[in-house]
Amino acid sequence: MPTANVEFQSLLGGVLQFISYMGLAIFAENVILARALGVTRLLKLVPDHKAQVWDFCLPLILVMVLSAPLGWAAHNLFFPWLRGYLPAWLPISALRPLVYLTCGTLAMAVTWVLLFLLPRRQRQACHAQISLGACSTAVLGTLLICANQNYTLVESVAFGLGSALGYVFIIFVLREGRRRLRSKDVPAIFQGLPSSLIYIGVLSLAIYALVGHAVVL
Amino acid sequence: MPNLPNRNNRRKGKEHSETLIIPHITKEMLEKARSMAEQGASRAEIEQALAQMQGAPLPGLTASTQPAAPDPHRIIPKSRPRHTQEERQAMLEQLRKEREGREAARRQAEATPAGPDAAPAKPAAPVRPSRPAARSLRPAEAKTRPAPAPVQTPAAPAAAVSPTEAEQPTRTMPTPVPAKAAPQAPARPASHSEESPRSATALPRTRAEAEARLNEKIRSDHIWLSNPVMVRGLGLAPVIGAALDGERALMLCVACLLLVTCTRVLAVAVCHLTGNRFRPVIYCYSAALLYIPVYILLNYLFGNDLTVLGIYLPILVAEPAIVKRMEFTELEPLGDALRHGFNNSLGMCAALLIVGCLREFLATGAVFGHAVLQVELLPLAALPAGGFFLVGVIAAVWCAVANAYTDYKHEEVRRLYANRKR
Repeated sequence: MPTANVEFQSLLGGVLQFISYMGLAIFAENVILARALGVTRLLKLVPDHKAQVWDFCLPLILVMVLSAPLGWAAHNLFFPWLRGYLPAWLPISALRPLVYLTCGTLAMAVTWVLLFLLPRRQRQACHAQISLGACSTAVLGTLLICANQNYTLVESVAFGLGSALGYVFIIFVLREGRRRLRSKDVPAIFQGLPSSLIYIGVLSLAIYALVGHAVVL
Repeated sequence: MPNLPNRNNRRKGKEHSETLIIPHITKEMLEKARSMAEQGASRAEIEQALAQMQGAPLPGLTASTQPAAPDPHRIIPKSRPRHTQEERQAMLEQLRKEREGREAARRQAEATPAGPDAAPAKPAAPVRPSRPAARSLRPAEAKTRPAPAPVQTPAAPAAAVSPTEAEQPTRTMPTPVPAKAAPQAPARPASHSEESPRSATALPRTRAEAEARLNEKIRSDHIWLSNPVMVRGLGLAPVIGAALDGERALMLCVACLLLVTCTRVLAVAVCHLTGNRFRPVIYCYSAALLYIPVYILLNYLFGNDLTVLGIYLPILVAEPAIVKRMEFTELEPLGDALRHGFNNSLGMCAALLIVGCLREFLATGAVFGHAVLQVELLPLAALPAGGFFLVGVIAAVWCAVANAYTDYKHEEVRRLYANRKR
């Protein structure tokens, strides 16, 4: 009779939970399609042929993954501690951007160091893009969503990783779409930004049809 | 690998006319060359004959020694003034004297300590050498010169300029003494000393200047022609994600107006102090610090309604409309930062209000909560997908109207300056 260890079952459950939250962040709650976070940087990045996608995406993934536990710590440890010291006229919500931005900056610093593992040429290209990746609304928005949803540490990391992968996924999808949207059949006034927005709208509608409900803002 | 023929040698082996490059050609030389070519002379013979003709004293040179009337048959291109050797020497001497005078004035200004009452010296403004001087410098002369003349030299302080220099508004070359042989190009009053007192409201003289001014005007119009959201694609997250109705759009407008304007000024001020380093961090942290009083003010104005904005209010601190400026290398002055920041926020407000009201109207048939229609025309407009669609369509119409207007203005400039050469 086959028996499973209780620890193995809990480990397997944790892995499944991690993957399910990742899948949720990649598809159902995609940062771009469901919440329009980081759209501006995406629209600038896609037609830029000089910028390699991975030079931007690799720092972005690292920053989002590393900032997720920091954001969890800020939400569950720092803010409860700080609440007792704040005056009544200062709501704690006013400090959220400052604190989460600090989390993103710390993650950016760690990412900066980690990128030294790469060859020199790729490292320089990634270092040039790291500030744009860290100062993105996608990073700050993901931290705020994790805090609003009261995710645990594992869920926060899974959601951060999934959000980053979802962002990269949409970059590649939009890059292919943008190539096809250069067709002469597209009217002149829709060329560029309008056609890209409508294309993202079609993708967003497809995700909405798949999920069946709008996400919580 | 096949040896592909050189495309430049396609006509090799075929008979074709040859082009002779002959400097200082006269009418006699041209006729001589034609007659020799008709008689079947080779290229070398023609060149030899022309060289012999060129060996004879040129009219320009004879004019310098004995002031005789210029040869009426000589063909002189009017687009490029030709000078004799003496004229060139005189010009070079004049240039050298001017440069020495400027150097002396600069040294004198540096040696003189500026007192507290002294007027502040103007920043180094580029001085463009006049065109006749630039044109008179040929490669042969440039080799003989000790150092190339700088195109842009710092202007000397006004107090140090000699009276003779100050009296001359244009720094044009003085006409050499034997100026009969070469016709002079018309004087061009385009030097810096004449341009500087012109006000910005004065009509531009040339078409290029008018077009540059028009382009600058279009670029600086952040509300309609260069709207940050609809034309440049900045700040799309709150417009698509949060501007679901007029009330939310209004709250975002107030937040943008305060945050975008103040952040730009504060970040530029800090960047001036830090020497333009760590710009991304400075821009974001400036916005995050300013978010604290802005949030308190918004909380006082709107109360608990502020919570409907969700994450879109805090993420304004990392909005590209705020931090995009960090990608530019040059640092703008504080006054410009305030003006540009305010214009940018006004452009964002216009886009937010238009999109918010339209989405509310299409999704619920109401505007600012007041029912206009009893039917819901497009419930999809309340979703992010509808926001993408709607913003895409509005951006297309917006850009089409803006492009039509700018094309009309460009055409107007072209017609106004049609009778001018430049």
